Amino acid sequence: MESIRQAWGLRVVAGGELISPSDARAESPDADRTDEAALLRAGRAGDRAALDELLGLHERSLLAFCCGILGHAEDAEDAVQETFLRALRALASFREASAFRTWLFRIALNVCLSRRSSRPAAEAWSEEECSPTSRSPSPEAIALHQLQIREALSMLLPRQRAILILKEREEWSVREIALAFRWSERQVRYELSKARLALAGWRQREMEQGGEP
Amino acid sequence: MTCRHTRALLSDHRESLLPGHAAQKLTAHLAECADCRRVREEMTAAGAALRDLAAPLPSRDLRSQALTAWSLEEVRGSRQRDVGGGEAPASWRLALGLVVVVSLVLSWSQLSQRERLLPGSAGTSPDQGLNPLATRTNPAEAGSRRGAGMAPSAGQPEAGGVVMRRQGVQQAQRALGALGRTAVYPSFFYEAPRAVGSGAGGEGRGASPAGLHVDNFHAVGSSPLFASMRGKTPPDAPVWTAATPDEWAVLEQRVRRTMPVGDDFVQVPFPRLAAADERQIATALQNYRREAAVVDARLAREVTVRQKAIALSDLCERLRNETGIHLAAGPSVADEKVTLFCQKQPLRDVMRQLSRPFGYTWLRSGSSSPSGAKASGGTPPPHLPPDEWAALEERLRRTIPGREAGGRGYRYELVQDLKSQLLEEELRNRDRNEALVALDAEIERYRPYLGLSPDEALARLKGAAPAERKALEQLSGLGWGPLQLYYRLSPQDQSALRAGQELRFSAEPDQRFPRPLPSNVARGVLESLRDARIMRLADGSFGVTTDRENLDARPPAAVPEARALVTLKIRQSELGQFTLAGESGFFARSKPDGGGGTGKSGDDGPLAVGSSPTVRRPDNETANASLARDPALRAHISIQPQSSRGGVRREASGVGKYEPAGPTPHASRRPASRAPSPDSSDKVTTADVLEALHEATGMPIAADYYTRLYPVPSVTERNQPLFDALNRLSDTMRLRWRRDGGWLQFRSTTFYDDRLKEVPNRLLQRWAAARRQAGMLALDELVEIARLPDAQLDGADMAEGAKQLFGLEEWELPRNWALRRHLRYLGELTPEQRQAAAGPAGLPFGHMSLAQQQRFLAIALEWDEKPLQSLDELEGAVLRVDYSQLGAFEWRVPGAGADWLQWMMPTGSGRRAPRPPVRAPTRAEALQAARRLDPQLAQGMLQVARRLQPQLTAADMRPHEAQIVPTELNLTFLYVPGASHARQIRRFSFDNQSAYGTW
Repeated sequence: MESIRQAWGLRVVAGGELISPSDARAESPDADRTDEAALLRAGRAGDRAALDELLGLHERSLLAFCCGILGHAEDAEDAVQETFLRALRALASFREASAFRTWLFRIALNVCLSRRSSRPAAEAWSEEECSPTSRSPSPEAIALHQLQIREALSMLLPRQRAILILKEREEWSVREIALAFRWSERQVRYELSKARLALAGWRQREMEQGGEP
Repeated sequence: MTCRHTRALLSDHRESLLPGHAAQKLTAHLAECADCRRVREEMTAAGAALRDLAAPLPSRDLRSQALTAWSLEEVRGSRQRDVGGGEAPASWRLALGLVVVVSLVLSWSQLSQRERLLPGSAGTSPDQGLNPLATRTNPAEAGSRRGAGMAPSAGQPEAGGVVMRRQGVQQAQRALGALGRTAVYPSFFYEAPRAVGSGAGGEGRGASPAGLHVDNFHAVGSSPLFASMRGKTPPDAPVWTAATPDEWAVLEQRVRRTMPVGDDFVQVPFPRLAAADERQIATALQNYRREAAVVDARLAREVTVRQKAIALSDLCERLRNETGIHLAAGPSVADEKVTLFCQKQPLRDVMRQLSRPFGYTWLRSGSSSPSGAKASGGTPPPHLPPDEWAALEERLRRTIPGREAGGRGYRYELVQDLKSQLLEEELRNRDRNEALVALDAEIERYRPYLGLSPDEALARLKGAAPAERKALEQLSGLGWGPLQLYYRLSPQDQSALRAGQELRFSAEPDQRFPRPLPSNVARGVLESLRDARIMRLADGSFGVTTDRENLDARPPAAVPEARALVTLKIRQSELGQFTLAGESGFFARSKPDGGGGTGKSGDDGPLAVGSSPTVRRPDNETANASLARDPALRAHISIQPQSSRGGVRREASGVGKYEPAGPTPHASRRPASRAPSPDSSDKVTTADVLEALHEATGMPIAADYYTRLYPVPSVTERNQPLFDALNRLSDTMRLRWRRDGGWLQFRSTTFYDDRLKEVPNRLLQRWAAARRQAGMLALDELVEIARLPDAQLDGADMAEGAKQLFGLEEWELPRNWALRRHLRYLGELTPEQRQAAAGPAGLPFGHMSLAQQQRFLAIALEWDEKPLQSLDELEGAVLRVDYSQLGAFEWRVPGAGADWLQWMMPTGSGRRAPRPPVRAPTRAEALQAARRLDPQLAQGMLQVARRLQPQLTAADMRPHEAQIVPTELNLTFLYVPGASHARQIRRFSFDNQSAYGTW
């Protein structure tokens, strides 16, 4: 049991049930205050479980981020895995000048951009509108909605997608984004504005064509 | 502030990054400008939509794999540093080695434990580990392995190494390369799990054919899926609702359009979503994309096919045997016949030709081979050398960038989807309506002559022009009554007629003939029955004879007791063809108060036949006008097809089943003058003609095949431009041709009807073999044939083909509309009962089951006016079946109207019993057998015969050579409703389809 726990970073909760770190956070409010720095230190000291937990804190956000840029879940998973590997390799050189999250997302952005540049652009979704007529939360309706969002994102430049996702979904500040990307804040604001206007324009067009984006 | 300026600042405004004065100006502008307000609202909504973007759940263990790979790199780096430095003492190297081994063992142990942790894990047996397929039963594990870079043995430490898909293949190779591992799995080796039901309770969450993978490992974490499986529904988990078809259709349409399929003639099943979990959706779509992108390298294999009228199931089997690729025809198309000629064409093209032109689809199932023998190779298909296989794969990768080669485990099944079936149904309906309209137009040609009586029409017929002869022939005979009534039908009757109902009219309406016949029409009907004569018999009853010289007999119009009868029916004589049929007749009641009587009815052939005009005129020249100037179609050709009936001849000699004739030696580009003149008695199939065309042009040909025979001269071309020859031949054979790349495609213009008319080869061949063995089709085989759908039995072309190509001379017996019903009734009997019915004594009524007895009575007493009072009346009731073939001799009982005596004999005191016909292989034997008849029986027969021909003497009844006649192909059903003469016998036979009476 102990080896399993160590291997997968599982914690034992009341009743002896094994849960993952992310579940643990959901179970306990205190889990949200996990000390990222402490995990980082423990990880650097060779605590594999700590490293696993540290990466787990950002896994889904990274996945959403990469998915938004690359457009496909499977590509995004590859990108996240590569991000983790690059981060682990460079862990010793991480000086903590920025937050671990910022550093990690910067790596992820580079991975995604390099992946995009090495491959032909993803095929855009069709522009032909066929929105669901029902607002019932059926799997297909939700899937279609997600596809439409991805379709809208696919119209943006990768850097704009990255900024928009970090801003809107991850709720980063402009400053944080600028730090992560090593851009000026002005540049981030400019790209953010362009991205938001493009997305708003897409929504308008969809509405005019009778869709319900 | 302008709108443009405002919009540029909207984003900063949302972030509260604008200076105060700028923010005020912007707010003021927004208050005035509806357009900019709308942009701001859309911007806000777009942000909200992005926040709604579900965070996907990873489908595999990204962190652990990355950590393991990193650990291995660290260890390896240390080892290299250590070895590379050359300074470490041997003891250190040993220690490091131990660390590596321990690390690897620990890593392997963790993997094993993980696998054991997973619900439904396939375990980690080394044997299973050697075969990746053995472990794919766990979708979670399959998910974790699906990328690449997996070592072939799951029991190895590095099996838990970095797993990356797509580009991950190379990376994984690099990652593993240091460990000396080169084997890489294809990224699509696993087979997606099939749908596993649905339900929020979690058991068997929905999945799809394309594979929604329930990742059990991640379910351990925070997955809503796992939570729901444990009975806990997370607050943000989507509500489980039924999918609406519209939404799904939209999604599928969208994805299919944007994800072209690599092998474009293959239908890749689209996933069916059963949950709205983001990861599942993404996985499903990703799986579809991966499957869609696959181009099966094996299909580049070149094949040569020369097949005429072959069933798709047989063709697929031959191709499967030749290429090693699993091809099969699904039940919906297995019996469809095609003609295919091609020389060294890629299998892909052949498959395309077998699907697209006919509206069929190749379904691909299974997955590429899991064999991890090498990165992109695997086991080449049988009959294909490995080097050729490798070259094919390489060529494919070069020529189709971005595509993934593979598919060694794929299976292909040819099917017709529901959409295509419905389309055919639609075409049939359209054709049916056009045929009815055509029938109506055909009937209209009688209108100018409706004022004529039958005698007037007969008089006018003598000097009639050819154009009006056919109409006058009907109106001067038995068609007069039905045609008169057709034009007097009420809309309700017309509707009933079109619906297939038979309308029966009588001068004295009763239950059987409920519609009244106007008196003027009744007179005309009796007048039209010129060949019938009625005579009063000695016992006071009426008899019917066709002997016009009999002075005691009078025409029906001169017999006051004769009542006119008329029937009218529109029958679908074949699919796509309607026939208006009608009979005229009479019934003469022997006694005014009811009781017995006699009657006769008949027709002079169909009154009108209507078929769709578009079917009759394919007009290929117009349809293919764009190809008229195609240089490839301007070459002059001569073709003279050779009859496939050679196959029948071989078959008759016992060589084997029917096989179409071999390549036509005469088909060539040589001048027609050198070709031998065709035998006008020969008939050829469309496949024969297309074979000759292939021989003459060398062009690959794909065509559907439906049995139709054409005289050779009508499909012979001499030194004609190919384009013109194609148009003419296709028009003659009711085909539509077109060009598809280098291929010539042919399809019947009435394929939607022809498909239903065509009898499968497997049945025809079986019956042909049985006939070869026994020299004739047995009664049981006739029963089996009668079970075919009406569409197949009604088809005139099919019937001709069955006889001409397969030698099934008896085909007309079950095809006969009157006999078919009775053969099907025989099919309800047991083999023993059938044998008894075919015996001399027949099948007694008492030996039938209740249901069989009910059917028997429904037929036997159908026209009987007297209801059955007691079952005692059925004493001696039997069903008798007499099946006669050509090639023997039989004794015909003399005397007009005595044909009942062929099967029945009087037994005295108003009773009767079945008797076997007198038949023998030779004339002499038949005569001897007839003369051996019991003198008492001969005397009884004489009495019966003399009822209609009183002048007959005992000498006339003595069998002599002139009464011995060759047997004919015939099938007779006798429904004898008792030994007593009180009820009449019903007889149905091929030569005299329906009769009712006794002596």
